[in-house]
Amino acid sequence: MDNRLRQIREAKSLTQGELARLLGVSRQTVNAVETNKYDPSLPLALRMAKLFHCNVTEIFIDDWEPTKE
Amino acid sequence: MSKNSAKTVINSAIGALLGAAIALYAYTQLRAYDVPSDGLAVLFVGILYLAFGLIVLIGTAIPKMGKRFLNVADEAEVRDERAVLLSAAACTSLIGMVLISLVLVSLGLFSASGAIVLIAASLLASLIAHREHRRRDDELAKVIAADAAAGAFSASSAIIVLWSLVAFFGYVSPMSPLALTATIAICVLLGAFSAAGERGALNPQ
Repeated sequence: MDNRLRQIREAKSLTQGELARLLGVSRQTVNAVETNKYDPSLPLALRMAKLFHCNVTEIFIDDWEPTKE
Repeated sequence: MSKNSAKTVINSAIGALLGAAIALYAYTQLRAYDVPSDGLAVLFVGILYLAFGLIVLIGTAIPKMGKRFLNVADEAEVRDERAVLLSAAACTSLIGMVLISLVLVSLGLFSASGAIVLIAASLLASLIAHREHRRRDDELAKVIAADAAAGAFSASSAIIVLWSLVAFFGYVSPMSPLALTATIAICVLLGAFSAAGERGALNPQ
């Protein structure tokens, strides 16, 4: 899933390692999310949103739309 | 090709050449002993395990060097991840030594009791490595471990079942204990690399 994690992290002047420590995960996890290799769990996505004071949908981009009946 | 991709290709090529050179050397040394094909397969897989284990061990012991080929951002990360890297390296090296020792036992060049001690040590190292990984409780590591286990199980069961079926109809001999060990060991290795690669965990930072 596309996301803006790298842009948001860099805007806050955080390294991958610093963000990983704040979130309680490994730096590899942050890197995998930023490079779209891994979609984080719901708890981790919520933690990211809480940390950056935004909604999950502002970090993760999903183009899915419900089909109209 | 990006700088990181080029670095991955170069590192992989160096690793492959090094592994092939060591395997070729071991093969020429053991050719005089008339090693059976299942023994050669176990030997090859054992050397791969030992080489990967030693590479991680060297990288962890010398962070300045380790930052170049381990999936880390800098030397500090090598030090932070020291416990996990060391337990994984010890575990991988010991598994390699166990596999090599099995071949040497079959040739009468190593004692069975020595191999049993190595097996016990590798089981202990595996338990410690497992505990270290569980202690970190990192969700990406858990996903990679699950993907690796699923990949290894699928590949090894497909090979073993197919081989057994062909053996049942009498076209080949049943798998020997050494061939079975080599099959599972190589499938575990391939499963781990495949899962880590898919999640970007093999790309240099």
